[in-house]
Amino acid sequence: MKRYIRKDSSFFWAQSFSTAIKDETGNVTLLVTSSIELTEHTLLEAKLTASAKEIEDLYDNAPCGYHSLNHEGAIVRINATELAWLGCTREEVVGKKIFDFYTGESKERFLKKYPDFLKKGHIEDLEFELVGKDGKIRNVLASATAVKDANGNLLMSRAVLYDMTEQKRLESDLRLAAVAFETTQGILVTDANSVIRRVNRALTQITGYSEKEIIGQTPKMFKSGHHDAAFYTAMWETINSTGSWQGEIWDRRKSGEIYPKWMTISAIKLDDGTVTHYVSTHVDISGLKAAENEIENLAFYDPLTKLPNRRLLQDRLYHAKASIDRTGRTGALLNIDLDNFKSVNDTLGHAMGDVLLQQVAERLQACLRAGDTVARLGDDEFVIILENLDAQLIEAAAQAKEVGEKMLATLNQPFFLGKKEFHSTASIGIAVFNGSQKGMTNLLKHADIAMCQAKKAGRNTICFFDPQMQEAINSRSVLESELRNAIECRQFFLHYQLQVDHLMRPFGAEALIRWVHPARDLVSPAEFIPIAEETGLIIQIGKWVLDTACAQLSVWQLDEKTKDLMLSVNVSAKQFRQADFAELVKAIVQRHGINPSRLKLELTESILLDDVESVISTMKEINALGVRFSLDDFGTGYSSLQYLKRLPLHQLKIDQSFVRDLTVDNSDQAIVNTIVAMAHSMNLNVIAEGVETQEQRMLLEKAGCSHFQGYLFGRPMPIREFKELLK
Amino acid sequence: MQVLPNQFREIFDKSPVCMIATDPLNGRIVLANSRAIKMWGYTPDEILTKTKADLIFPDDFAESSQRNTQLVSGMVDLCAL
Repeated sequence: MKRYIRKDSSFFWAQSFSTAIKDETGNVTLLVTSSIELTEHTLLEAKLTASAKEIEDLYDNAPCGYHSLNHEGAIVRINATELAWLGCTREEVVGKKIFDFYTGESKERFLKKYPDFLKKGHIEDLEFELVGKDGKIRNVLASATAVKDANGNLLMSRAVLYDMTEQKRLESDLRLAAVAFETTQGILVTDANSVIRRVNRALTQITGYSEKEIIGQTPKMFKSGHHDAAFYTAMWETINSTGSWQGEIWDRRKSGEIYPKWMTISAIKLDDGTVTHYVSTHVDISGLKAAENEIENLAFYDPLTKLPNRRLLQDRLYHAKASIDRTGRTGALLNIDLDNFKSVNDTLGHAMGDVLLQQVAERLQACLRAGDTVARLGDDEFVIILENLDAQLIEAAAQAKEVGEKMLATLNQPFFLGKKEFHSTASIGIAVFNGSQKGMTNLLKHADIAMCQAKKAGRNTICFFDPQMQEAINSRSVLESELRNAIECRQFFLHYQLQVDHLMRPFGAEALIRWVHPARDLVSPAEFIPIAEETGLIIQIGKWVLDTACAQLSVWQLDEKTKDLMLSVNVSAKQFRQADFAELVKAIVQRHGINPSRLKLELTESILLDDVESVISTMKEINALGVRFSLDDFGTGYSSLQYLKRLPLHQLKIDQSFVRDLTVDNSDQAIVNTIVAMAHSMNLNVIAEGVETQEQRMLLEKAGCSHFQGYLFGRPMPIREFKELLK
Repeated sequence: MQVLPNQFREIFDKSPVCMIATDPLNGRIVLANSRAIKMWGYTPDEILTKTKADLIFPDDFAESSQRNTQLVSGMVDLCAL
């Protein structure tokens, strides 16, 4: 069927048949075409057939599924697309129920909606899951129409189905991407021209800028100036050549704060390599850096004051020494110790003590020049390194002293601890050093020793360490090791000094320790007792003294003539403070079987310096055994009368310093009078020591003193001589 | 009985169907019956100056010419279009 064209250019439809006419040899000589014109009816029919074919083609090959069901829901017609989804041939499908190809859940939904569909005659956008022969699930969106007869009975239904599988996947990918985008890492997306198109919440939090402020800008807005142009050039070269870059970058937040972050930048490219976007992720690592710093701080800084600790001080000292060796200049080490720090802790509590230390640290730092170091070694001990002082040691010392005085002055200003005003002083020891100085540990020791000197010199002052003092220290340490040795080698002896009453009758003795040094003969207790106190050897030595004295008492008690003699034994504060001291006394008294009332322990006033309550309690415990107490060196310390009254004392001993000048110094006489009067008022016995002349004795007796001790009656002597003296 | 050429000529001319015969080489019309002459609207002389291409609607010519080729080559003896 084709169209022919007339002479007048109109056309007509005709059905043509052509055939070939051949000659004897088989060559085609003519083509004969017979054409039958088509009437309008035949033309229409032909057109309908063609149209039906076209529709059939569209139906079959449309990008959506079509099917028709009979009134029972069985498939009567289905298009090729839907068959392809199901992976079935038409024969396998026709006659089957459509819901046989749904997942269980979809079948339920289908059956649930079916009555409504029948009622309304149509349904739109119902989501189903279609299961193919291969088990593959396809998300489809279906719309269906019901065809009914005149009575409203269902004849059939038709449905069109759209494949939503890919769309669903994209949707879920998008949802996933949206969730992933809002992570704790900052994410920033720019176009190919570095104009910022998208940022996530984390990025706004990291940068401090709102999304509004960022979108449309370029990442240059975050620059801190920390990196130079070459840095950014290298970064872009890497991105352009490899597609990505990562590294640490220091940016500036909106607040102005410069912070480090770990950044990765990736180029997003089309298949042809054209860059469409850049995506960067930003991780704020300032916290990490802070942690790193914190670790360093813990290792090298005192957490309370943020000052260098001992370890860092030693490092700085090492560098200072190296610099001094190089430049020929000098330096100084200052050791600073607060004079009354302990009382802050005791009276205001440790929290206030900490506040004080922090304030002290601030004040000390304010006194320093750049390049100097102040460190805290512990408690209230601060050490300062002054570098680059004058090459002349004397000049350097003057400079160091100036700094030290500045520090004393600033520390003398009141501190405000909470609401309390607190006044403090400090003692400073200075060791000046130059290139010839050996050993940094010694240097620290020197400054410490000088500081102790300052304390002894009355506090709130500065002392220098000098070589002469070093010598004294050296010989001291020799003595210390010899002292340890002395106990083992039994180099101690007791000497006894007679004590008499006002009728000059022997009434007792004071046991005094003597150290017979193998090389030096007798060493004065004034020389070795302080060392024994500091080293703790006094505990052992004191125990030996007490034991030896009690042994002597037990000997005396065997003899009618000596059985009433009192023996005084000196007890150091350190020994007295031993928790088991009362037990020790009890054990020794029992072991020797002595009359405890003949034993007298001499304590010095220094014992009352702190924790008086526990001292009183120990004294009472010992006193309960019958042992008596005498307060030695009375008048030299700062006894509080209030405490004195509470002590179970038997005797006061007037210090020999008052006795010495008694005959020439009126004020000493007045003091002695007062002491005796006070002692009597407290019902205490009074003994004077260091009595050397009759004149002294008479003045003391006049004042009311009843007992005496001194060279006038006998020097301290070995027991053998003492026995002779008693005769 | 033998059909004479003038009788054959009359059968051809009086057929109620349009009939044309063409030269298989150039498609020139060599014979056209009265019905054909009437349908196409040419005079008997005019139509003999035309080729098949002049008579067919241009959009349909390609298919027609393809069929002719098949006839000439002997691939088919008859074709309907």
